[in-house]
Amino acid sequence: MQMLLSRQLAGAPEGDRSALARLVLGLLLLLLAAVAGLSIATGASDASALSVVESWFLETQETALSTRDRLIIYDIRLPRIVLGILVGASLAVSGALMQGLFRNPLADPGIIGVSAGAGLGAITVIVLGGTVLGPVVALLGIYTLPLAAFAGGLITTLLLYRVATRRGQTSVATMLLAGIALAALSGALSGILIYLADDRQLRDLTFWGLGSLGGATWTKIWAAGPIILAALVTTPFLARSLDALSLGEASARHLGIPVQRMKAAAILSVAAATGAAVAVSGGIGFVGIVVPHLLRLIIGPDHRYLLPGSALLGASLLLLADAVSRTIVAPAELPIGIVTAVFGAPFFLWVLLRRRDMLDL
Amino acid sequence: MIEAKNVSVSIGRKPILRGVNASTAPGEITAIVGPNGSGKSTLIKALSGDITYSGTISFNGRDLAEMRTGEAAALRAVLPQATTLSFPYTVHEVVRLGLLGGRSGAPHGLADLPERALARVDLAGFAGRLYQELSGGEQQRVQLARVLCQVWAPVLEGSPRYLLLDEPVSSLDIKHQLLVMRIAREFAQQGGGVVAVLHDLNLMAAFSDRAILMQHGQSVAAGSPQEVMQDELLSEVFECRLKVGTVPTGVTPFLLPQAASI
Repeated sequence: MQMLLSRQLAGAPEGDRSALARLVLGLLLLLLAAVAGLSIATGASDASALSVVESWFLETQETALSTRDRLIIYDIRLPRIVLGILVGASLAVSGALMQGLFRNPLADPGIIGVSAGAGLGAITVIVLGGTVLGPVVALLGIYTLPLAAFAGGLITTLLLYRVATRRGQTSVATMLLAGIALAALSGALSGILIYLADDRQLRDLTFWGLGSLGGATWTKIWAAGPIILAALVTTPFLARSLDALSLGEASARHLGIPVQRMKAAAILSVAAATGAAVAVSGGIGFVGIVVPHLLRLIIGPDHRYLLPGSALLGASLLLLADAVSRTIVAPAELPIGIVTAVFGAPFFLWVLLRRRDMLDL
Repeated sequence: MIEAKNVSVSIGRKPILRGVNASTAPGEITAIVGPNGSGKSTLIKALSGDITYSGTISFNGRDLAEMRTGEAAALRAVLPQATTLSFPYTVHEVVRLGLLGGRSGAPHGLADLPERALARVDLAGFAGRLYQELSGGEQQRVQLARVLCQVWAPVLEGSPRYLLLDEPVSSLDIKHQLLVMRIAREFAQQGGGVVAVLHDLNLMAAFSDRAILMQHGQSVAAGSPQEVMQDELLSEVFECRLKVGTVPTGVTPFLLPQAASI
């Protein structure tokens, strides 16, 4: 199908998938708009998005009903959708960035322990925020949680990179094993903190840890949004460097890429995006591995298109997963982390199966 | 002009290069030859700026250690021994990476440069193929095409540019060995400089203007191929008895493995 499409986009040189990639980006934008529209129109209550939109244009008399609808749309559904878009985009882009950085299609913040490290940072704030870390919370306010998760993710990523990369080559086996060790360590430290937590904190932790967009509020969006947007805005500048890096560090440098600086920027972006996403939504897995992989099958690995494409597709898929999580056991709600894992884990196994010979484990 | 003065490299405590002096002029192909482990690849890695060295290396009088990566990329391109890719890029996408630095210096625009570079390495029509599905020799020529895109013009704004080739013909058949060496020669004839690590002494003799013979991390001889291709010198360095012959109609010396013995 890909070949067919490439042929149809005549005019471009053979092997140049840019035109196809731009077309796919356009379609993904439409997909996201459609999914977001669908999400805002459906929910547990019968609030009508249409009537709210109508009220923008028609100066109708405000009735009690439309005020209620307005509340549901603006303060419940809309924040959830915005958060879903932010989290989905940052998870998928983190995956794509990390895969480019490690030169490995299996690298993903969830799989190699970066999310666990970010989680440890978040749990630390939730449990110790009232006591030991009180002054920090007072200083940073609503940004404490995402910044702590960012710090946890950053430390994990740096450790992982240090252990798994030698002379510019990343060993897959070392990366995965080091990820298991770091995730276990983060898990153990988180366990100690949970052991220390009081009842109210335990409730917060459980709610947070299930992985859900359910608690979306505008406050959360204002806390995590700027960090996520800063990370996402950096990524286009890394695209060409990541393409060059796929030739190896030495060759990227020979092409004029300042490799060390670019790697530092990529690690910071991954940690910021993952940390902020984990802080507001808990552990939502597999988006970072599924989305870039699907896109590479269609538009190829060119990071100029892969990174924005991942943001768009990641946002759409997470909104869809959220829709499933809201409706499948309605009126109750399934944590979205379960939905992404049910679809993502078999997909990951399928990727492994296809690339077994290349993994060299 | 590339000049290496008293260049030493150690990995851990093991000295790999010991005070190497070497130079290569624009317009010339300089071959680095020597037995396995003599430091050929390390010398070209030092010239490429890949490893830390003591001593000085300069390109056109500019100290390599003080150049930014972008400046160095405008002066020289490096062909590694082999390159594996972790993602399914097409051949076109790989070759296009050579244009990243933006200093190709191609006179007729960049749009079709990848295709022209591919045609030059005898891979016309390969642009749409996936790199990972090519043979080792084809991959090596794709990388050469990428490297050519980076420094398409051998001379840019009056300063000569350089190709650093680490065993450029190691996985090629004889036709493509000759093709690659001719590309190097054309690059040199148009004013650029070429430094190539070569294993094949006959290719060195046939194509290079200067040869640097390495042994135990030192340059033991440097000069024209005729000066380096000496029975005693080669026998001593390669630790086997070698007899150099000469083509009746010319000055190009050659070696026959049949005439050698351990």
